[in-house]
Amino acid sequence: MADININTVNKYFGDVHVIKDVSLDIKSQSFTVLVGPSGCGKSTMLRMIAGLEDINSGTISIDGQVVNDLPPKQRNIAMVFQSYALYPHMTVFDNMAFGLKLEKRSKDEINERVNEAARILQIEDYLQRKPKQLSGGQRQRVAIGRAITRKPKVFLFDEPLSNLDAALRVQMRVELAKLHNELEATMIYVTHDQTEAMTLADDIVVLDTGIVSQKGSPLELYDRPNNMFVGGFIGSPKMNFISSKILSKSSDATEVDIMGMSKISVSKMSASSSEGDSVTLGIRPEHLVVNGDSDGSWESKVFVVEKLGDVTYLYLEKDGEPLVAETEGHSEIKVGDTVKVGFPAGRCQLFDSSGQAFK
Amino acid sequence: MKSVSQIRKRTALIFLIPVTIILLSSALYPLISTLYLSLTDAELENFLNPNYVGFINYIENYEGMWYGVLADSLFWNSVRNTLVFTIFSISLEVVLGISFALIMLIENKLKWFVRAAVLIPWAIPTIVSARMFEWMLQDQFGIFNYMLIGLGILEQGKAWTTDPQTSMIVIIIIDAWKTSPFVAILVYAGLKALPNEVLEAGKVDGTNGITQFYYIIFPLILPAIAVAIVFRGLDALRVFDLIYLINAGSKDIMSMTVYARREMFEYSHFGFGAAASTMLTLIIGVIAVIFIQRTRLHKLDEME
Repeated sequence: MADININTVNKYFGDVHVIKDVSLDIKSQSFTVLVGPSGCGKSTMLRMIAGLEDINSGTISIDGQVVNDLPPKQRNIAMVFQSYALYPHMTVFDNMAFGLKLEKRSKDEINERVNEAARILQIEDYLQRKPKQLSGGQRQRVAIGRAITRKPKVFLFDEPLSNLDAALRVQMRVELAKLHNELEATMIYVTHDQTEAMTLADDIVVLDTGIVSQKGSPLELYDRPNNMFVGGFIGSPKMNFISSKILSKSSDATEVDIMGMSKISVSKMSASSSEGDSVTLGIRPEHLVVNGDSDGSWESKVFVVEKLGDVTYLYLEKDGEPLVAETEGHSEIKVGDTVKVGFPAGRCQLFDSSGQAFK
Repeated sequence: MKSVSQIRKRTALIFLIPVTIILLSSALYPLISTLYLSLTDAELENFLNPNYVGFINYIENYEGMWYGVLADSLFWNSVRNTLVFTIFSISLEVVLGISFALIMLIENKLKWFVRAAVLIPWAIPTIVSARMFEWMLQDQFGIFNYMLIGLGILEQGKAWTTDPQTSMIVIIIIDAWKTSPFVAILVYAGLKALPNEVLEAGKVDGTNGITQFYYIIFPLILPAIAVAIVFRGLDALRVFDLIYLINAGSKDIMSMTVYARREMFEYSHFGFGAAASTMLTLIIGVIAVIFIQRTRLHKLDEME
């Protein structure tokens, strides 16, 4: 059991305020992914939990114990670094045994634990090699193995897959998910890759310039983003944003216009909004209806067609408003064609001028 | 049509010509002429027309007695002095150099001052530092003796630089004072190049200051230390200026180079001196090859 509680934590690098009053509760044995663009503070968060960075104010506790002033080794954590950070002068075995050796464990126990980890990660054949004799994927396994052997309560991953090629990344992603089930440990994982976040996480924490933008399950964030930042960050290709205006408000819906061409009534409300306010309508490419019956509609020429086999993306634009729409893989639509795009009201999100979502 | 690799090879050869010429004229020519001189009876009077005498400058049995460089106990004494000087001065310099480098690594407002202070002894010409120490260690007016007498450790001043029991130690300490900064710079560069994440991984694995240095930092800066030892070792084996300046005539500290210089330019035994120089070159060469083989320094690229 290792709940992690982060309570109004602040961090400054010189004058730069990188973490602003962040509070987070991470449940024991959960897989939590910290995600956000470069410079959002996600790696700093992880390093503060690890004890590699000091905290300026607030508390971090692991398993009920405040760890602010504890060095990393007393926090019962293990960390996997982006650059693998293997000890270059040690063999794979020694790399994995190093932490145990420092804990002065018996030879038998070290052997047993390293071999066990090597078996799980399928690196038994490389135990006597040096890190530079291994491929990137193998090195990453060793780095994970080094973390496993110490049986920590908490695993911290700092963009562990970003140095791997695309195919290997997918494979390691699946293995990490399996590993989490096997080890039943609390895992915190930092990435800027929203696909990794969506596929691995029990909970995703989206960070934006040092603030928790939203925390929730992957589908919660996907279906009901709190704000434009989360809406735009989660999902690929990005959610479309179209500027719009509130035409009228009723007790349970807001009617907005789409480029003056049509209007739709979205059953979402915001108390602070009023008629005539500028809002942003958000809708994901896969929810747009191409050349079919739907609520509101919009017509545009097709500028670019991307055929991916399973789906086709159409890049549209009208009066400076870009729009990406998804349609079936074997679409007949060509560049230069004019298509009609429908906006199913149930799939639309509304954001006010400060980017907050209508509920 | 020539292939690209042929053109590259030819370009490389053209670029190698100037350095080859310089090396041939400045290193190979003196080496061969010294070798030739060592096989002659050259002295001041017949320097331009010496007679070839074979290996008698190296070793010769004349009426039951052995003569030549290899039979001269003073030569072997100078070899011993040189080796003692080399081993102890380098050991001291490596320890001090690593310590200085670690101090230079500390990030605070004084770091520029510390780095400059560490480097100053290296920047001072040997003649100046030798005279400086000579005065400080002087038996009547030297500050070192003054302090020791003041502390009640000595009754009267000691001539540290000429006393057979202390002169070698003094030479070693002056050399260490002077050249530790060189080792410090090389080690400092090695320390700066250490990957930060590896050190952090160590912290997560539970290292403290001592285990971090012993298990991670030291093995990773070993190549830098080995390079420093090779440079310093070759310098120390050829040591001349410091010993010549402190006490040119003393056999207690006489190095191989001082011995060879004395034979050549004080006694005008050019052939004999050349033989001593050749032996010196040979001894240094053998030591260098053994050291480089042992430390696998020539395979540095493969190390990581």
